Amino acid sequence: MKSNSNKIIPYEMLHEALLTTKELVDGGPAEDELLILKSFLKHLTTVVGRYLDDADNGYPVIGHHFAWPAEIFYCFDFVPVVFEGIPYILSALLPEGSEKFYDIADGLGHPYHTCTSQKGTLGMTIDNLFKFDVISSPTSPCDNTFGSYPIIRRFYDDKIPFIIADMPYYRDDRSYEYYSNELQTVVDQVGKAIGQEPDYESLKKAVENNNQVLDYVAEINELKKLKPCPIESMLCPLMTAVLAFIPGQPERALFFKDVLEIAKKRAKNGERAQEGEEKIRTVWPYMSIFFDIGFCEWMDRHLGMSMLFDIFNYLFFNKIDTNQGPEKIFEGLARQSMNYPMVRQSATFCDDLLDDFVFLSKEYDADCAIFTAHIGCKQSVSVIQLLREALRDEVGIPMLSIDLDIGDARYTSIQTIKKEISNFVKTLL
Amino acid sequence: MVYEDLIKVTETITNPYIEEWKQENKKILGYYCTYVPEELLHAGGIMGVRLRGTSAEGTSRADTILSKFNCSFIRATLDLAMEGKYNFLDGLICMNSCDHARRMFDVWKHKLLGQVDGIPEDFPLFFLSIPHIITDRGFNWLKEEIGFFKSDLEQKFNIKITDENLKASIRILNEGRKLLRDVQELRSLEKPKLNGEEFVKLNVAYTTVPKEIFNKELNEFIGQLKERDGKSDYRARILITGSLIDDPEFIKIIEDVGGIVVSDLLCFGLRNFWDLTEESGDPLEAIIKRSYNKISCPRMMDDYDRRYKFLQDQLKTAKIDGVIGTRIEFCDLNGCECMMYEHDLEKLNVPMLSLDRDYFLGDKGRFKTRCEAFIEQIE
Repeated sequence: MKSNSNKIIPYEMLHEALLTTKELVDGGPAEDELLILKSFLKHLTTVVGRYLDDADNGYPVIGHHFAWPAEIFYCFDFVPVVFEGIPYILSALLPEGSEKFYDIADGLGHPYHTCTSQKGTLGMTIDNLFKFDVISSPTSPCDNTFGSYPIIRRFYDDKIPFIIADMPYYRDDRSYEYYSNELQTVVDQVGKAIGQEPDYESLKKAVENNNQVLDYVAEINELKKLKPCPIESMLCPLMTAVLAFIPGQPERALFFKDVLEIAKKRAKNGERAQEGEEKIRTVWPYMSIFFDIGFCEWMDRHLGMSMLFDIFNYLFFNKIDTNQGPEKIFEGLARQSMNYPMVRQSATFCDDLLDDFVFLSKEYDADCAIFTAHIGCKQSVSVIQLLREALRDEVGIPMLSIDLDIGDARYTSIQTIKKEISNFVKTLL
Repeated sequence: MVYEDLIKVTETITNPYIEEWKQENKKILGYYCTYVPEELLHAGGIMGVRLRGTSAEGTSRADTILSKFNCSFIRATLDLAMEGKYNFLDGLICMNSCDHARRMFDVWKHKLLGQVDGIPEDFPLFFLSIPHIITDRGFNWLKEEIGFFKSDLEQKFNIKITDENLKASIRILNEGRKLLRDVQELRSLEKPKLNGEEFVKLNVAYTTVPKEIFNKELNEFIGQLKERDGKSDYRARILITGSLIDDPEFIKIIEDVGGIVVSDLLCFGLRNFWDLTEESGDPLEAIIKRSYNKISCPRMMDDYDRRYKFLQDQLKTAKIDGVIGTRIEFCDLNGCECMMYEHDLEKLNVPMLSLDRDYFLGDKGRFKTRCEAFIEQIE
């Protein structure tokens, strides 16, 4: 069944912004600069272009949460729109960011303290820029999800299917089995909603693409142990975008393949991505800032600071066995997605978050941690002090936390953020 | 005991009933959320006490752990716990209710157990993972979950919770719920027999006084209520919804400026007692059914329609003139829920006032002015 009315104007905006940025980056700096960004722009532009073509061809649009294993939708011909990704990537690429859309949602009563990732998409929906065929979300990882998704749906007068999978709070076999069954039910429901039969061969292919990514990421992670780190800080936010926007597709693997090759070459020569010394190695237990595309380069170049990991970048998963039928694939996806970056750390007890960052700090020899305390993320800000104490007591490193909105420059300005980090760095050197 | 003693419990965290209970060496478990299957505790001879922020003078202790983006109610309860005001508890039940409350499990585990005088290292912490949507699979999950919880309680406190105990507890808890429904009926009369302030006090008492005592006192009080003349000196009949309200003073502000709060959709209110547990069939299953299917909290992701339908019913039953929706700052769930009510009620031409607030009534003046203006607007 084809969708007659799909509409993904923000993806058109994104495509245009990607093309413009690509043109600037390809034509501007020296050939051997910003290599990872260049690869990112190349692959994401291709993929978003394909989404636009698919939408033109009438494929149904599935608006989904970033915490999904969106590969499950590859059982179908469809166009994915990741709700939480679009406002943030536009906040990086558009001069005015996504502020207009946050304000539209706020103007209709959306609380100022809810997460801008969903607030932006809500604003775009109210502004009539999207028309989905299905909206789908897990019950994770936060209250913003429970609160904002029903509002988004409401703006379509509840006329589009809203398909939800319930994610338990625990991480054990009982929970994985439950969630695996939930995912299978979602596929059945989506199939009915868009009038397509699930094609499990396509799902298998998508999962195999992701399996390949895991190999590359494992090697990249190993290289990050080197001093100096041969990978620029910018990989953290770029990787977040790749995981969100390119689920289960060849370009995801191609991007990581490029990153690995670039990093290997630098590692061989003992080089960083930029000139100058690596002075400080940091882990970011929350996430990078999205609204300033130059932020990570500033850290690398001006502070000599490497961002080794943030909450989105360490995929220590087992590969999914794709040879034993769909049931095993769903089981593997359930396990993976319940431990997806950010889901793992914020949708269950906080021990995983503490253990992960103690481990990463030790294993990768971090000098400090920086926590971006995002106003929208109540479950994460609740445990900042627990994390600070764990890092202090078990690793002996300090943690800076900065109150801000990761997608909106108006809450805490980039100048203030840079100043706080610079002052923190002074105390360390 | 008299009714006045009963409602005095709203002013403090502990109370004479709790003290007496402790003197008898009986157990008390604290909890945050209305999804706790209270019958189970009662059947095990355990008193359930809902955590409140009453009497907290600030949150300076809690602020050393939590963020300014955490809601002030949760910070107030944590502050009281760090001060030792909850030392009478023999354990705490947390669940995935909201992002602020669910993190209390982590905070108590890492920062309070063995570190705050009166909260030992082996202080029992329980956690319930409650589904966020209503499905058959979710029900079976919850059934298993509550089964594990029952076994944990039996093991930790060396008790046996039998079907017979459960049946008796269901009857006793239902009795309290029915009495509160009777009170609600008297509150929503043309000439309400009590105001919203009194009603909040009763609801707080319901969560912090042994059920048998509460039932007895409330039963007698209902007799007195019926004799009252009823109130007619009000300017507008209000339904209140949004974030939790355990402070009667908050309602008093609305009623001091001419409103009368005759109904609510609150978790220290109708949401807590409205639904009854089936008294026939398997008692544990009946308890779980009630817990899962009761009038939900906005934590239930796809259940807004049912909540809105309930609110609409209340608009008619209690002849509501206007709705006040409040969210404690940083409460995303109730913030979003109130936004939806506001838009839907507009279509019905029902005025709604949305208010941000702090758990503490620091901005009483602003609140009073806005309520006064709202009542003038709808009068």
